[in-house]
Amino acid sequence: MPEAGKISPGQLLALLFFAVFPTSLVFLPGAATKIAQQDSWLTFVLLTLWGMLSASLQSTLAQRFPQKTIIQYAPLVLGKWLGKLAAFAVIFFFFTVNLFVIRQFAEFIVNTFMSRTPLAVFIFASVVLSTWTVFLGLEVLARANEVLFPLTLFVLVFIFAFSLPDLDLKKLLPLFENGPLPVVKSTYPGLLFFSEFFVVNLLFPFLNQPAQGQKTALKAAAWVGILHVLSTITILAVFGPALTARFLCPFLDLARYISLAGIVERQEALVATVWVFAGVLKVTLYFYSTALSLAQLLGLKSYHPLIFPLAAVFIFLPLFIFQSIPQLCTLLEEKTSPLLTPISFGLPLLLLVAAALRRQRE
Amino acid sequence: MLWWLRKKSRRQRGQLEKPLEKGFWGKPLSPRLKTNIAQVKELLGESPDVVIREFDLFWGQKVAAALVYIDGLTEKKLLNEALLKSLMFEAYQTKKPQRTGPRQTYLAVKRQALSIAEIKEAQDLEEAISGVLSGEVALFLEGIPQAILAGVRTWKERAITESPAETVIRGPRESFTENLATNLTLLRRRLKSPHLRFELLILGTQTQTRTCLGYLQNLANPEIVAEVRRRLSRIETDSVLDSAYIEEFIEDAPFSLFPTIAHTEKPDHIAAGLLEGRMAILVDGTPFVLSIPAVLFEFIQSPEDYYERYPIGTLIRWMRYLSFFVALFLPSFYIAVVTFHHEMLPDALLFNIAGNREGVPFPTFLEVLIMEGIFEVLREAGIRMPRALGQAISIVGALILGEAAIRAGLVSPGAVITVATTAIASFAVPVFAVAISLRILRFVFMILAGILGLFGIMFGALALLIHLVSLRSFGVPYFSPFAPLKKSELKDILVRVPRWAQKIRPPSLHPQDLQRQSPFLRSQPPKPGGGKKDA
Repeated sequence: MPEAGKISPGQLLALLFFAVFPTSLVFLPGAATKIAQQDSWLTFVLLTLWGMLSASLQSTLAQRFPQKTIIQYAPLVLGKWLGKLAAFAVIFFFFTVNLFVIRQFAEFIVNTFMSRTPLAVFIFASVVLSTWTVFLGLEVLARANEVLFPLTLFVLVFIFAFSLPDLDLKKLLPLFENGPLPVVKSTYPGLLFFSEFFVVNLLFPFLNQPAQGQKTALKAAAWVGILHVLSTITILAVFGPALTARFLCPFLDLARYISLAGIVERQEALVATVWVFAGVLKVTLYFYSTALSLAQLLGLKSYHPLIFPLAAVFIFLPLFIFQSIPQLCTLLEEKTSPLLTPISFGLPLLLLVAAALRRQRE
Repeated sequence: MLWWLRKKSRRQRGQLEKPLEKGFWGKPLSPRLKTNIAQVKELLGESPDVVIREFDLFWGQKVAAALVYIDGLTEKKLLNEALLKSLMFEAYQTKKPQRTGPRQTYLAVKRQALSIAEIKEAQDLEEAISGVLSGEVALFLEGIPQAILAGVRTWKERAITESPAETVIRGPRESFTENLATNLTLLRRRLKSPHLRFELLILGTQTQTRTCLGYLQNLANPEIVAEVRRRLSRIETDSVLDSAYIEEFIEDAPFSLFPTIAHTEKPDHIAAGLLEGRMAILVDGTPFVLSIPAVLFEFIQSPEDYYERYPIGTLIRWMRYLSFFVALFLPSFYIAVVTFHHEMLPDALLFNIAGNREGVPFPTFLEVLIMEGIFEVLREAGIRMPRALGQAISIVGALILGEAAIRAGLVSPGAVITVATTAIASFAVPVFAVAISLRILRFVFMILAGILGLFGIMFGALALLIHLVSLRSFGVPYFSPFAPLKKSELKDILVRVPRWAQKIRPPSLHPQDLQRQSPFLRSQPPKPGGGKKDA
């Protein structure tokens, strides 16, 4: 087996949380508000449901084959060649998502804080750090997640709490100004993000208490969803929909806006801290997933030989395949969901149905 | 390339260039006294402290005998009274036994004549000589190819004093000494449990250092004990002069900045560790005892946290955590904020800092780096110099790190305050080994902050975290109880709960028995008025 580590349900919760959370919180509230205006918090209520549906689908499938990753059981369910094709799609998913995450990570820092530092510096730093972590293995990654999960929650609660004086809930009204359709439409870019719980299919065999798997996945989806709803409500109530839609990262501006008694001011450093920690963890998780699934597809004993070549790819591709942040945003808003959601949601559904029909389980 | 290197090192491992000379000589003892004495003389040479006392004892018939000992390692009085006197006079007076011969004499001497508690038999020369070298007296008899080793060890040793490195206000004050036997007594006196075990090992081919692995047999996890034993037994070296030698041979992360084995001079600290299921390694010749396994948070605690009342213990602990962060991050944070992130400072402070920096020729990064460097030199000078020069150093130090440096326009007051605060905070980290790691890491973080500002610090902090969670100490994760999370242990990390609430031992050490005490120990004093409500 290419990986020998074991993780606890608490660690899986943290891993799944960071598998979705950082990039979605930065990107989605703005994107959803563009379409749904003041109703965009309802978008996240819908997306929470979608996330929980996705998480329960993924974990139901994973529980059928608790000893195997999706790469290993896909050929069992679909037959050798179709299975290999499915495995290839899975690798493509992890790989592509990671390209986006890496670029987003670096773009965010350059566009908000370090405008005179080249993008490549941050891409390089994040990939080097995650390369090292992947080298150390899943257990280490899981523990780092476990430590940073409460820290992230603390920062979010801190920002919510200190935004309270500026809240004006009237900005959320009127409800359904343009009917419910824009709300449904605005879930579109989020469909991909909230189905990224897909990664549980790869992590499940390493869980030390498989019985807790499904509950944990649902919990993770609930945490992610609730925090998005809360953040979006806070952002909208402070800035109103027009301003929110224009921000690159509304949550950052929320932290910037904090001002209490002239002492607690401009807390964007906190957001930056969480962004660096959570962003690198997300990059690492997808890097790890790519390496592990590729190793399993190729039948390698260990994924370690793949790390350095993949690291080189992850440094260079995000630098060259995207041109600018508007292009990146457009891609995320329009192209990624139709391209990748069929893999992250459709493929598990197909596998589950096929496995159920063929009465396969372990 | 890397794979190739690793393969190469794997090939080399396990093969010594030539086997180390094990023990000394491996020669058997001869039945002839003359030969034995000649061999001893040949091996030990003509040292003035090696004494060979030849005499005759009379046991039915005359038997030639010789005592070999090292002057200074043996107690003269006991030697004269219990050995020489009883062998030469008291044995002489006994009646003639029924059977005579060398064997009978030997047995009789061993059983009747020597009024000494500790008696051993040496079967070959090597055993006899190592006994002599560690302070025993060897008795050779004509016609017997064996030697009797009598333990009359004594030597000058330091008295049990208060530890200079780990001081407490409340709590036991005595500390270990250089003598292994004394140290074992200090532990025995605290733990009168029959389960306390000490396993003796002799390490170092030249130094023959007596080393003890101590643990409570009913608590310590047998797998961890076996692992420690395995790692100790593979030590093949010429010398062990301090427990630090052993630490470097057996630690889990030889390349890490952080120690994965704790050490202390205080017996109460070690006893507390043993009672939680830890192991101790005591080495003859050093007061520093190793404690295994060690986790990170142990190094930010002090035994005194448990002797003071618990609210104070908790508060002090938090102050120490804060100092830990300040000592690690403050200079780099200062560099990052002043160089890159002005918006984070309140306006008034920003203007002050900018105004004060007006005449300073260096960038903030260099300024702080120079000041930190000077401070490190000062600190090192303060430790190594002769005591008499202390005043001179403190005067010069105050000049360099103070008003004069500011007035000379070399540094800004902000940098001086930063460096001074950092220094004080780093003294509040109670364990020196970790304080040193922080010193090194502080410079790393300063460089990162100089390059990338806050983001440099954050990348560094994340790398540090990943390194820390990847470490293990004898199978116990170094960052526990946070990762992997053990909720029941957090109450001894985040706060220091009262004694009666510490019901179980730390589970991350996997002790054989988790229950520490009765769960209902909170004191319940009788209410005034016999429990009736006040009227």
